[in-house]
Amino acid sequence: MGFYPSWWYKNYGISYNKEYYHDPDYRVDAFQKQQKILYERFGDVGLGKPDPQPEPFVDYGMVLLPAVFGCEIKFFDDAIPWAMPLNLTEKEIFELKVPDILNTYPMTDIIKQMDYLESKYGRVTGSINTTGVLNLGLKLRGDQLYLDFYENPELVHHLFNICTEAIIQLAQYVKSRTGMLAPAVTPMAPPEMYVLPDCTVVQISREVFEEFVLPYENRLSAVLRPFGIHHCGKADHMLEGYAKVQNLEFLEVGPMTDLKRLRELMPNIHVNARIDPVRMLNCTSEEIAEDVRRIIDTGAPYDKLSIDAVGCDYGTPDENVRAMLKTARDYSLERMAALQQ
Amino acid sequence: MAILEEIKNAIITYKPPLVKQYCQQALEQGYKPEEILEQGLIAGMNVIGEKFKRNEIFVPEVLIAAKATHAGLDVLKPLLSASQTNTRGKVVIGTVKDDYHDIGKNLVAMMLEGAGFKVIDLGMDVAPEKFIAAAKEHEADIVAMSCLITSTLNWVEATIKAFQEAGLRDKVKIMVGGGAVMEDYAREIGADGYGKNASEAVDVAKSLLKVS
Repeated sequence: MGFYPSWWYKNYGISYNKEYYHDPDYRVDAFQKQQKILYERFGDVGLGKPDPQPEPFVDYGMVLLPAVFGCEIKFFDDAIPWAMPLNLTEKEIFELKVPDILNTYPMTDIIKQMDYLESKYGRVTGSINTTGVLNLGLKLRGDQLYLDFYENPELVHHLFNICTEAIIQLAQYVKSRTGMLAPAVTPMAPPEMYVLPDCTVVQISREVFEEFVLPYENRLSAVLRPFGIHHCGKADHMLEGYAKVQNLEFLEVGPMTDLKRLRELMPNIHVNARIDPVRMLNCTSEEIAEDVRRIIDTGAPYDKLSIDAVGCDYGTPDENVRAMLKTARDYSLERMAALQQ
Repeated sequence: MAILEEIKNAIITYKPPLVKQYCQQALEQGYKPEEILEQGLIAGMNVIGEKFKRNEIFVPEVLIAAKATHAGLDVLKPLLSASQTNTRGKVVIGTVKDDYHDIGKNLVAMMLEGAGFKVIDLGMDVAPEKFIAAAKEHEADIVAMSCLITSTLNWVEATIKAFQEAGLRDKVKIMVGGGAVMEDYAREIGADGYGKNASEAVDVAKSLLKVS
């Protein structure tokens, strides 16, 4: 279970503005407070810790690589940071090269933070969300990229080559420092796993994915292992495409994805199924419980299934949080017991 | 009629240069600009809208179909009479304050234009007062708000309230949509219409203004 910055800011005044990402002491202190708050409010359903210790982690939202390439970043007290698209021209894209990531701001600041946390705590944890190939491509080219699939395929491949190389360089560095890659994308994958954020893949057809994105995802999965994918939203139309991703061990899918079909295509991967934060906000606790039961009923085998609800906004009823967690625990135990009989 | 069918097909097969060429040919063949608009361009975008609704096509296809439609509109616009340039109604559209996710809003804007509405796109991060100013300036029939993240939902309601306080609520229809919005919520806060996606938004806009 995870809460969006607005929940933290409007309930408890914990800001996610620029200070959160650039002041490691502020961030570590905020996280400690958050663990205590979660325990006080939801300890009965297993959230938080009564006596949390400092966790010396790095974080930069989903905007590190866009910022390195030159995107303007907007910070908010109550939202994750947002990278404004660069809208590079065709000429600029064909002249684009992979930047010197480790010597470009804000990565230089992240490295300083890593050095500081290591010296203070003896270790540094956490990871940096690399953004995915399509996600990053859209930040650099803007919405024109959607038209490029049809009008300028060569540009798309040139751009995605650069995005892929930048992602590899960033991921390899971060893993060398913290040993982790997953936490900045999802808490549900093994921390050492690289989980590719495929948030915008939901906007393209499987045919466009297979022609333009899949080759680069396979390059990433060959280099960054273990490998997983995070897909925002319902993934049904992309499942056959994801089945062609090599070395895929973990797939996180959005609400209402056809898990039965997913299992037919990819029987051996771990699936994390997400509950919709919009439904967490608006629906009754019984409707949320039903969403959880539906996932459990269709998502077996249970040693390869997990469920979470992240990005829950300010105003999400506490009873929905409890309903989600209790149903996930109780109903899965009930189903597993039934299987053993 | 064959040339009008060619225009429609050129939109459905994503060929902007052909749409432009066929629109010119249709004019040379004596078709009225309004006929070409309705039976060629709008007919083509209607097919696109239905396919998008059924998840048969996605954002790139809608955008290139819209580009193809615009290529035809550029040929016809100088010839269309003032009454035909906004045959359906005027829509002011934007994403609400603090929301920078605009692809959904862009799709809605294109689909509405393709369906014959005049669209004034205010962009992203639009404060309530900006929606009001634009609605007044352009004498909008509809104000359409997009909201993708739940943390900006409060601005949807705030904008509707702002219209009430400005004494303009009964002068415009307000429709809302986007990933963060559910139909019940839209009704609760007093919106006149809710569109689950870009294609539905066009249907809602038509229904609000009672046009076909």
